[in-house]
Amino acid sequence: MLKASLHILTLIAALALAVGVAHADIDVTITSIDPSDGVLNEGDTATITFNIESDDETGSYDVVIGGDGTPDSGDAISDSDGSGTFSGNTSGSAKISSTSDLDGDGDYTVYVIAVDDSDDTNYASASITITLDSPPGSVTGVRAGAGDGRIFLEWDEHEDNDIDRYSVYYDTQSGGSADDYLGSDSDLGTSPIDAGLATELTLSGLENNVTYYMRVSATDEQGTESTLSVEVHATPTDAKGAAELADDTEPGCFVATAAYGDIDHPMLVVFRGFRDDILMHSEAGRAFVQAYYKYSPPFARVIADHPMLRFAARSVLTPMAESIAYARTHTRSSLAVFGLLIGSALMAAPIGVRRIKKGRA
Amino acid sequence: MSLRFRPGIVAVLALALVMGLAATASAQDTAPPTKAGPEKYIEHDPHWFESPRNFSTGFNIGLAFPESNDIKDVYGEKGDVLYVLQGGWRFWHEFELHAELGYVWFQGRGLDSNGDKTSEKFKIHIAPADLHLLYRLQYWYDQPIVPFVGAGGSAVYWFEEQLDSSNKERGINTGYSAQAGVMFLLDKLEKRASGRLERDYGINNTYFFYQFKYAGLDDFGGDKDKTLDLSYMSHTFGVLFQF
Repeated sequence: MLKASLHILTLIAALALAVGVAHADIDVTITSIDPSDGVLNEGDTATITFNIESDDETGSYDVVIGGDGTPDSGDAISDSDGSGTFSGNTSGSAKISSTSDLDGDGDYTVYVIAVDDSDDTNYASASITITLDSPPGSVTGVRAGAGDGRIFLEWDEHEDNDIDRYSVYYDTQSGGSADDYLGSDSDLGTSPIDAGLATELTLSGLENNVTYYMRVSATDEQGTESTLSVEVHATPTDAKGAAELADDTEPGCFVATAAYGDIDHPMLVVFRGFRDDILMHSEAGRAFVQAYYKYSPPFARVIADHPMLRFAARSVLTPMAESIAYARTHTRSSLAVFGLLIGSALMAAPIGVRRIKKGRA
Repeated sequence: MSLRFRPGIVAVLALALVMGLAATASAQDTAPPTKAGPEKYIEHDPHWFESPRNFSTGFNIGLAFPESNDIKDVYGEKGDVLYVLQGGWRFWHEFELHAELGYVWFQGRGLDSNGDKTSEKFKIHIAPADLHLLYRLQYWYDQPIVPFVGAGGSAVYWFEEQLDSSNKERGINTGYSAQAGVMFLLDKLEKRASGRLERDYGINNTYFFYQFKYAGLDDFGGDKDKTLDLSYMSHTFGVLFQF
């Protein structure tokens, strides 16, 4: 009984010693990481260096991503230096590739695990955290619309879900990089303007009839900014609604417009010039113009809908327009012809009256 | 089929119909004529007489289409929803003094000095009011289909605003308008309900109707330099109560 108890105690002591020895024999430390902040961009590679110290132990080591630091946990890295053997004190390094070993933005725990060849319960590990942070893609779907002293800018929402803000770059000149956009006209401030998480922005306080060029970028929560979007441009301009347009509308020439079908027809230009330069300078002329605009629209509508009436109207209006155009450019000869016509009429009238009276008699 | 009819023809037809039918109106009465119209029997109760139907009221909803370039240039040609309240006083046979009040709004983009669209949004609110002489071609009680025509004067209050801006304009225009349409008697569909309406509320007849209207709202062709032409035509459907 006593012998059995002694055996059991011996076994327990040996076991305890083995466990203690297992963790005391091997020591792993990660001595450095490059980049030092442990942050990688898409396409980058991180390099870790490590030491394995042991009391004449031999074994193998693995560099893994994830797991819990125990043997056979985690995913092996693609670098061939990510696994090897150690004997006594050993230093090593391994590369972690963002494209081969990591999957998407986020934090990853890298373990270096060293295992005693003769006793796989005799192991040690060390860990370090690396972060993969890819810059956001450029903003797409940027559109600009011109307003009155302002530009309405819109863009598509970014597909990444870690966007922290959008920035709008603007200037009166086209540019290639962010430093080229130095606009300062807007009420919202100088370029770039922080748009927050909105996907639209109204650049107000701009100058009308000046062209502005704009680009948009997205910045993620890690502070990484995307490349600039495609450049867009717009020219603010004075915008009018229906009431203001009706106020500004230069009256046309309704019947003539209906006859010729084109408000810029050369004959209409002649009539408008006659109206503006001759008629509108006298009271009788203005009264005539007012009456014409008041009563001609219904006739104009009828004429516009009937080709024969349009032809008839043109037949009357064209000689009138030609005569007006000629008279305005050849005043003296026009007056002479006009005087001749009037004189002839005055002379012919009494002759005609006398003949009529003779005919009746 | 285009929804747009020649407004002039409609107005002329409306007036001709009103004038032509006026002469025949008195011949249609079959009972001792009264100002309120002849009485009739409700078929299930020979001792029941219909109360006079001197008034009408109703509401209709449909689409209004701008007719002037002033509005089309900024707000486009497509129609927008028009809401109308109406009421009338049948003062002699089937002639009615009829009033309507409507509301419609359009939204569009302003134009620059070249006539090109900008991105500035504008909105115009239009509230037309009409006073018409209306004639309903109703020759007997329980007539299931009743055409009607009318014409008269109109006034419209308008308010235009540039969105996100202090730029606003407003005004009142006057003009004329004409309407024509057809009513469908609903009483026949549910006689008990119509009987209850008549006993309890005095509503003699209930109609579902379609109305076409043309309104020339340019101050009767006033100062073309300044007047905003708010002419429109509309197609609406609604319910009318006669009581």
